[in-house]
Amino acid sequence: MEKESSNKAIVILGNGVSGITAARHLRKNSALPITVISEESPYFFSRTALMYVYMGHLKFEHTQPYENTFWKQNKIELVQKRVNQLDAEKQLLHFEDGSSLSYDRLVLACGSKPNKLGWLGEDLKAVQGLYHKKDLDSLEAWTDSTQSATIVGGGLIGIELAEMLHSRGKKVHFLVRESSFWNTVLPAEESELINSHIRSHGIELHLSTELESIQGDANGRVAQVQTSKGATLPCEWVGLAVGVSPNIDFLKGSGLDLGKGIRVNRFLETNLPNIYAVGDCAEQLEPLPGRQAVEAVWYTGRIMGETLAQTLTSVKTAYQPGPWFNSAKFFDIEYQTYGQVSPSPDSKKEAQVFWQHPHKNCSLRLSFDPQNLYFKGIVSLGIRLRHEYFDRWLCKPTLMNEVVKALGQSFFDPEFSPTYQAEIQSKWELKKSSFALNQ
Amino acid sequence: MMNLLKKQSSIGVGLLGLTLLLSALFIAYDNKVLWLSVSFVLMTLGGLIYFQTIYGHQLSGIKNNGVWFSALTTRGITGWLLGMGLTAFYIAIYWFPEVLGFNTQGESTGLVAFFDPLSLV
Repeated sequence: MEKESSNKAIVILGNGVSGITAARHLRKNSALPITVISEESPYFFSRTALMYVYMGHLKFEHTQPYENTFWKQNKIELVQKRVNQLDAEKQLLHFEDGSSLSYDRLVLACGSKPNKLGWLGEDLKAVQGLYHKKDLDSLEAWTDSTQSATIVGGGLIGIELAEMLHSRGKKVHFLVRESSFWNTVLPAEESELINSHIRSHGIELHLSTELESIQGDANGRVAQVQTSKGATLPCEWVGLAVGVSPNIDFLKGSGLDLGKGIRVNRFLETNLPNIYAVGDCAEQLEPLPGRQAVEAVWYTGRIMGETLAQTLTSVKTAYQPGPWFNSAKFFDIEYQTYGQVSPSPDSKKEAQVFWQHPHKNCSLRLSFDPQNLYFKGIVSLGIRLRHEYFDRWLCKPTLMNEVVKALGQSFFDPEFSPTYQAEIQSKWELKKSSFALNQ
Repeated sequence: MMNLLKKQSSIGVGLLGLTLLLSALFIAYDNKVLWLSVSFVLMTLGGLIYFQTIYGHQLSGIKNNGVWFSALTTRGITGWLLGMGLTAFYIAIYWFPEVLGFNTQGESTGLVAFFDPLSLV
């Protein structure tokens, strides 16, 4: 494609949530020529919903939030090709098929790739991660010939895979390196609650266990795995879910400043002129206090896309994601978190009050500053919370008293659901009495 | 095995109740209260046992697994048949109730008469 277009042509590499959000907001604010490149799929889909396609809750087309005609209507050109190389000097992208595309400004939104840690046998057939659409297709193709599966990695994708395979009637072994599920993020009680929930579904949960090696059969397909505890688990499919890393290998040698990801400043600008990075692939040179340099999370990708669109069309805007939040679902238990709740808090900086339902899978943990009793964060299991309330209580210092009093209103559960307001209130009163500053 | 037997017999019990109900289209029962009650009890019992065998041992939660894999729930052939059957039944009730035994001139017969005890409760 020649440079006949205006000198403001924007090319976005990646049609995940970050790239597409950038494209949508660029179009809202401007009439600039926009091109989105993705090899993975012709149209944007919600990656986080892929599991529900496998479980039969949705069809793949349901994961596409926009009609296929949306892109043409909004003059967003879609190119389904793979980029091999970036020539930053000539402002050119080279595709695998030999063609190339020039840009005036380039937005890198190339996402992540699943980690492989160099295990023996990790490249055997039916050993895979779950990230791309093609991973889902591959899992689907192996499913009928699979009786038992081993999943490696006790994070969000690991537990998703466990639920997915379980929903299709497979025997599931779930290897988790930590001594309790996701306890690097979840406090001990919540983590324990999830452990027993996983087990109650009939999943073989192997805690403090790592993958040692994978052995194949005569056809090169996985036949069994060895665990670090010396067990041999026969299985026909292995899911590797030990995190993701920025997908940046093809950018090596382009002159971009690369660390773990593509290094960007607060304005999402890379070291090279006219090149920006958003989403999973971006690494903040100066991470915000209490935040990671690379955050491979749906919400942050969306905020980055939105922020960059502002910069490219009107006002130069710094990335300011606001208070941290995230949500997930562990089988039947919904999880939400806002602000900071540490799994092992420093008692000088963070105190916590915890309430758990005597027999239901419901719990709530609020963290606060022990010096001034300001609210710091919350973790909920089995209780839905309203974002706006916590965003407000975190943006402006709010006393715990005030938060606890209004907690019932912040619940988002269906009508007539119990709010447990009184139970939580009394837990707080009890806790509060041990802090001097409470009068 | 035991579960399968239980599940199938529960379907049988429910269908027996339904057959009894539909048979009222052709047979004029003398003791309507008795037969209507028997039919209701059989259908309810069959349904309860059926759902107990399916969901009784499961954990509580939202159950949508496999919804898009089944012809019944994805507008497949069985889904269409069920939908058309139910729609036809409602068309009969609203526009052609005489097919089901409704009679404005005198005593109703058939299915409508079978439900008479309910209107007397």
